[in-house]
Amino acid sequence: MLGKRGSRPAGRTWGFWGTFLPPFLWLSGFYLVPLGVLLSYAFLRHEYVTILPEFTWDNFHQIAQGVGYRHTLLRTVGVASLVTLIDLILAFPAAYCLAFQAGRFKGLLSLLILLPLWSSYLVRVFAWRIILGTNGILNSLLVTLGVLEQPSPWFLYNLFSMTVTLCYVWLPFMVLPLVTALERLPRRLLEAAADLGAAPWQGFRQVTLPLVLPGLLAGCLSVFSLTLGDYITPTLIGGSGDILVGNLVASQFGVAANWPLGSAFAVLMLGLLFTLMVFLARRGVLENL
Amino acid sequence: MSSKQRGAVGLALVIGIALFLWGLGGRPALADTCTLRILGWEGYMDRSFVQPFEQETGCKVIATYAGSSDEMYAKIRAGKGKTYDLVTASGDLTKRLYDSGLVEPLNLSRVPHVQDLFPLFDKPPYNTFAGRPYGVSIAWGPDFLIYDTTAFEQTPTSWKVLYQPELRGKVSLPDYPIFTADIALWQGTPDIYDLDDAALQGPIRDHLFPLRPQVRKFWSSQGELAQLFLNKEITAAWGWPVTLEELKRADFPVGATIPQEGTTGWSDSWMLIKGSKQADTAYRWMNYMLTGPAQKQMTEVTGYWPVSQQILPLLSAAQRRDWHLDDLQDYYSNIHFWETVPNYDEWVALWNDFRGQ
Repeated sequence: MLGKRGSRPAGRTWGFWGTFLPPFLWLSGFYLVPLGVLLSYAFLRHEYVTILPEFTWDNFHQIAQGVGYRHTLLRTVGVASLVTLIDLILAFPAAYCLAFQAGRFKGLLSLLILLPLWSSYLVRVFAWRIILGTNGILNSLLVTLGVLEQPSPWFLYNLFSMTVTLCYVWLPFMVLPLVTALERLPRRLLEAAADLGAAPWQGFRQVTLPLVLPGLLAGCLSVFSLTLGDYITPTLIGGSGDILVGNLVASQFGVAANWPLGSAFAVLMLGLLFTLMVFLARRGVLENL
Repeated sequence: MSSKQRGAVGLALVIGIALFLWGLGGRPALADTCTLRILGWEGYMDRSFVQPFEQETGCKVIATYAGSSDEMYAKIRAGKGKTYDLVTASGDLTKRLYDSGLVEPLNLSRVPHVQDLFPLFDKPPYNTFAGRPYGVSIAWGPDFLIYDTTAFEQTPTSWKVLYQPELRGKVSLPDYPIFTADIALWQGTPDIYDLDDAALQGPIRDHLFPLRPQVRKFWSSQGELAQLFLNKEITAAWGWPVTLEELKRADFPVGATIPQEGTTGWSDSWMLIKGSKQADTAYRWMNYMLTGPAQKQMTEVTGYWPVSQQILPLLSAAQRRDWHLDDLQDYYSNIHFWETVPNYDEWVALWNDFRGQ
């Protein structure tokens, strides 16, 4: 196109790059610089009430050495994976119904899925406390039905209640990208697969799944990273030992005033997410977020 | 969108923005007159005694509540004296603030009521540094073993009851690393706020970790602890008088005791944040809070115990006995008051191991 006119448009260098300036300033001012400052703390030393400006790997050493830190990192990744998997299993049929079966109720059903997002996150977490508690709705129901003789404490303040709550609060983030991906799926391809003799399962595996995979992974990424950073649900619903990395970061910044160690945790989590992003970006996931 | 609708939306936007700007404009006007911004524990800035002060002085008191000493420290540090004028610092915070250079030494001649403090609270070590006063006492109290009386036939006599198999999953402890000092106290350690890494990783760890399966939930605000009792989630806890008062008001069958090992406790002080432009108002507030009526109102709201003798004529003999004001010296010496911990990072590391093991 440029060759047709025989010369480069004069404005290309200045005007073209100039348009990048405002977003660049915005991004660096509100994102890159604060993030850089935060992350650089990870390599400084904290002593009593001061942060010493000397380079050290000490914070990462502490993380590697603390059994509580190691277990919490593993627990966090484990819980995040579990929540992602459960949400995927719950969301796929729902999204499939919405995209293909819902018909004229589609608008209404989508609204119902979105509706919880408009209420406060805290309210939704507290709601589960009311449902699962020893004097809660679930226990009352089970006792009334005669399933339990007396209320059981096993529904609340443990890994189970925490996983249930996290699955519930993040579910819409899995459903929405899946619906979008399924809607974009050309029906002709499904019909062609069926015409050419593919069994429904085969059609699903070889046509549907590969085409919705970016949307599916986008949903997984959202749910996984949201769980990874959460510390409210573990605080309110989790048991005595069920803290996640978010709690450790909060405790380093809010309790110990140990910014370097808190930042070191942030570096680790960001590193993990960034690796995941790079891996997923190659599969075209980011366009589907 | 029709042009009429567009007009309506436009009008709404203009009104919204105008209201917002008007709200913004209102703020600096407030700051010009005297506004005292206090960061502190719940209950220390209750309307019932803030209102008389505001009427008397024409100043406004803005209270920000925090759930722990650590939260207060983080907030003051982040604001560098620009966000708050006063803080209600417990003994585990006072020296940290002094060492960080975040608080101002006080001129006690501007707080004339300090001469009516019980002698114990006259320049106490937890708010006097390098011989200079940095704080004025507010209130104090012990950390109780609080229990559901329907679950205990007798008053528990030892903290060790928390380790009993019957209490598995029935206990609540505070989510504060300072609790580690209580473990040291139960072991008979002489200086429970000065624990080196060997002690922390040795005997303390061995006695702290078995407590985790006992804990149903760590509490991080006193309201949360009261809810845990009321919802029958727990039967015993380490907690403060304020929770006890709340449960009594709710007619919950609650008991509280100080077991034979003794207990920890706290003494809180007003401290003036360095860089505050409201020192005058802050001095008036500190002085006001030592008057009898203010002390009485404050103790009634919080259940914490008074520091000023001006309260004595306002109390009945029974109240004086309840608060041990007649044998204050004796009673006070049995409580191991919170102190600033020099190696707090190590305490937090142990606490995170305990929570996340």
